[in-house]
Amino acid sequence: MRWPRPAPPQAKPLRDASPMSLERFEALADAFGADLSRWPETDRAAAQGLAEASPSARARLAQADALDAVLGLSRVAAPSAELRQRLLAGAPKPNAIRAAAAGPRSARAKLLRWLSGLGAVGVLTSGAVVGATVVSVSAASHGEADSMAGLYDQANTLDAGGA
Amino acid sequence: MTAQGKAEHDPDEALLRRVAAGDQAAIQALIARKLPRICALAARMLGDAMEAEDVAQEAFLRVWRQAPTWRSGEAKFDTWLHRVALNLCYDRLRRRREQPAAAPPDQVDPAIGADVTIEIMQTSIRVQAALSELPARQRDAILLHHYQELSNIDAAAVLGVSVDALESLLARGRRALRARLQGLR
Repeated sequence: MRWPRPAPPQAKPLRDASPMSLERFEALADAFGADLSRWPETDRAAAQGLAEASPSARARLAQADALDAVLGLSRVAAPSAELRQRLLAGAPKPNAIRAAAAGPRSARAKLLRWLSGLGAVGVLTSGAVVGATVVSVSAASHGEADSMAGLYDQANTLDAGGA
Repeated sequence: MTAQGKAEHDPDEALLRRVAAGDQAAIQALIARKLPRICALAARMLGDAMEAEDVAQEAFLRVWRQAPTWRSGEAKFDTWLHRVALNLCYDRLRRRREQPAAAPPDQVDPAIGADVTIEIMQTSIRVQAALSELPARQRDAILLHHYQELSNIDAAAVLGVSVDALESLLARGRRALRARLQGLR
């Protein structure tokens, strides 16, 4: 999470068992509207009890309900199909596809590591003892070089195909 | 009572893990679950459907980037997403204030649909205008709680206020709306 978060709001202690005053009921109706399921969880049971018992509480709920209905008249457009397509195009790709996409880069990296290894071998062998050692290393590496060159070609082919 | 704004049980977390793995069904499910809500929030914040879609697209780009490194237990994904969308809307509203010569957003949204009558459209515009005239924090509280149907705890977490402060913002905002929208319906 990157967005800074302030200290989380603290929940009030449970008040289910306590009767609710009409004043508190009205304040909650003014804030949260007529649907008791949208009221703070800790107040719902007591509010339900008062709503059943008090005509004044029910009148306040009716007032809140009228405003809820007016607010419900606000309409907004549904997201377009084009937006959904744009989102899908930018979404994460399946792991298998990502692995295939990463393959050519891995092969290229291996080839570069191998070539740098050859350079190191060259430095180590550039001395008095050259002849047979170099021939031996070159011969041993030749098969791998062919193999890596093949992967490199494959990488280029995949790159070209993906372009 | 759940932890405030935190993800003791985040209903989106499992889906988000599948999104991070590139599961196309999960990606489509997440879009279906969240996109209409985020577009609606941005449309009501900005009063402009095109800008709302731009905000939604940017918010989802951040989701795609964030999904692989999402840390569970810190915040609910839905709360985080609302905060991202809200911040993107704030940026655009700020730019409008800094560039007052820019064309105002369309007041009538042609994308709402042909089945909506002129009368419904006019009523909707009036409600939208009343919302946009509220002080910003009152407007945001009402959008998050009434329209986005966030709980009081989650809405307070998005706004970075206490639940008592949220209740006060909602009450003042609704009182102002009642006065401005008298006679409707």
